[in-house]
Amino acid sequence: MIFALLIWIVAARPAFAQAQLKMDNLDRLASAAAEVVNVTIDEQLLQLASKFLSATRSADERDIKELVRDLKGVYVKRFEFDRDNGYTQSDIDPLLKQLHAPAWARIVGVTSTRELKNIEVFMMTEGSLIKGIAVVAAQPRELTVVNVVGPIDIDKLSRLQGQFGIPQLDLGSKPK
Amino acid sequence: MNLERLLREAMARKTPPPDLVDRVVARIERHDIPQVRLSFWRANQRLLRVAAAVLIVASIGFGVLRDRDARRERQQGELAARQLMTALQIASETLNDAQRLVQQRQ
Repeated sequence: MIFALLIWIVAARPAFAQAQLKMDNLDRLASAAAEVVNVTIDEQLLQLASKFLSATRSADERDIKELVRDLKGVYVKRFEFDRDNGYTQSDIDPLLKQLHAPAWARIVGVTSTRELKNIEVFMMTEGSLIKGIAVVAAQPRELTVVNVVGPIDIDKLSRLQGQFGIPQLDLGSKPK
Repeated sequence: MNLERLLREAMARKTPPPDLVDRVVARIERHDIPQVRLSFWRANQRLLRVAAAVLIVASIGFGVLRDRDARRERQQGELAARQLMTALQIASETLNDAQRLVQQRQ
């Protein structure tokens, strides 16, 4: 009976793990980048971080706390280069290969020749459940990869911009 | 009863019986002396003092360790919260950028 219950619990739990991208190959870009933001927050750390966000202290913190409540992980890598072509297509290809798997669907793909920007937004769903999103934004001097694992409200996430009353943090910046 | 006589008799010097010393020595050798029983606390006073000292030191040590762990967890949590806010800010910026570019094309 207990064994059957355990099997049911394991089977019923949504498999969010596959929504997590392997981004290790991008780490080698850090040595050529002028600025690096590398944030890796798994479920355990998310829960810990959530404890330190106060729903009563500010509206921003309340929104973030609510947004990340069911998330399994947040992974962000941003590289800023002093000159063009700090990275090559071969650096992004392993990432795009993962995102071109059937589990992922590209919901936005936009290229601006004027701003020299290419942004692609991918989403992994199972029925009505969002299992994760991935964003790849490429510019000649900047590469940003965002991977949010778990059910996320994209509208709420995009509304967060500009609401943060916090200074830009120098997290994981390359030592000079 | 004459009090003076009684006092004099009571305080009069008496010679101990000649075998008194032998009898006392014999009783000592036979261990025929009533044992004075000390309570557990008095009997183990030294041990108890050491145990109490050990307990106090251990309590202080445990408290210090717990405080250090709590402080470390708070630091980790605050750092994770700031990192999370930065990550979500970047995610939000990028999504809005994509939305803006899409709207420009329409």
